[in-house]
Amino acid sequence: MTRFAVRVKHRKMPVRSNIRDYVEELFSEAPKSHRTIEMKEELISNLQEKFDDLVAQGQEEHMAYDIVISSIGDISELIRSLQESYAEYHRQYRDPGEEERQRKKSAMLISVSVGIYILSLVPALLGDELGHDLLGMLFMFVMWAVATMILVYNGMTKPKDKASADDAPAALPREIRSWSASKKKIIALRNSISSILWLGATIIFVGGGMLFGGWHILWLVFLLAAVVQQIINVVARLSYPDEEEEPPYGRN
Amino acid sequence: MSIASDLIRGHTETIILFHLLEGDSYGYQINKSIQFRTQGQYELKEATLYSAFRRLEQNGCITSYWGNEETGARRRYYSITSLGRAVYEQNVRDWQEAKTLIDALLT
Repeated sequence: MTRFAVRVKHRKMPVRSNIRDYVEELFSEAPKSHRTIEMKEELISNLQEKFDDLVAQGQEEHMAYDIVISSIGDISELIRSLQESYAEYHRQYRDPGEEERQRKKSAMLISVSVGIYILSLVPALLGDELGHDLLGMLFMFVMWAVATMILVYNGMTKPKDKASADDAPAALPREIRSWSASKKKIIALRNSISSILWLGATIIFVGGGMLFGGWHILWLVFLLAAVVQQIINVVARLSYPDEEEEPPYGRN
Repeated sequence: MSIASDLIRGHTETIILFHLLEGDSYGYQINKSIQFRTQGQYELKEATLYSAFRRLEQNGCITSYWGNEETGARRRYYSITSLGRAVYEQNVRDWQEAKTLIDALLT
């Protein structure tokens, strides 16, 4: 139906270039991969050459166009095979080793920033002991800033990796799309719980310390937060299909 | 003619391999030669042709490269590999055998 509409719409335009429009429309369902572009270019150049031959043999342009278009046939199998190799490519591209490295890097960044939060107590306490309160507080805030920057950096670099992997599903079968959608939801939920957790811990620490002066006890809040974070991570990991478990890819 | 078309379609890959034995070629040229050999009675659909190209390339029977045309659009050329030649020989042997059997059964 739509193919016919396209043909009618372009009737009055130069006919040779319509072949390109027609093929573009035909492949609109195909994944936007390098292979698809090559396939389209190959098809277009062959069809245009055929068109030129027909016109050179004295065929009327509209007739030649119709003959060329009807010789394409059913490309659904072709699109399916393009989608399969696209899915295959993405499966290889997202190798579990890369994901493992990302996870380790992220875990290390979080540990370092938690360490800095805890160690920030040292200049504060030292400053208090030596009578340089302000200097001690200043150092503590600088250390907080550094630790927060590391956490923010970690948060910004990690989702980017997830996003690029999730770009693919638009062209993939529905099973895969729903598989990564549910996983994405769990990861998003885990991330927001984590940020609330750490924000809460910081508020308790700063607020409690300012109001009641219990710095020497209150820093334990960060250790507690770290423990809760690990529990959240484990629960989230158990909730979505593991990396080793293959998503349903159909054939191959 | 429809039985003949179905029969021929089953040999698309062998037809392509046979054509490439004579030298590198591209989609439209292969289809033209098919029309010529069958005196215009048979022509492959583009979709059938390119699906066959993809299968042959994935199986290592052919390789492809983009030609450098001075004028007009660039063409994608295909060339046969040694594996492709072996597959062609085997397919022709299979066909000879099938033809003998079918002849014995039908006539």
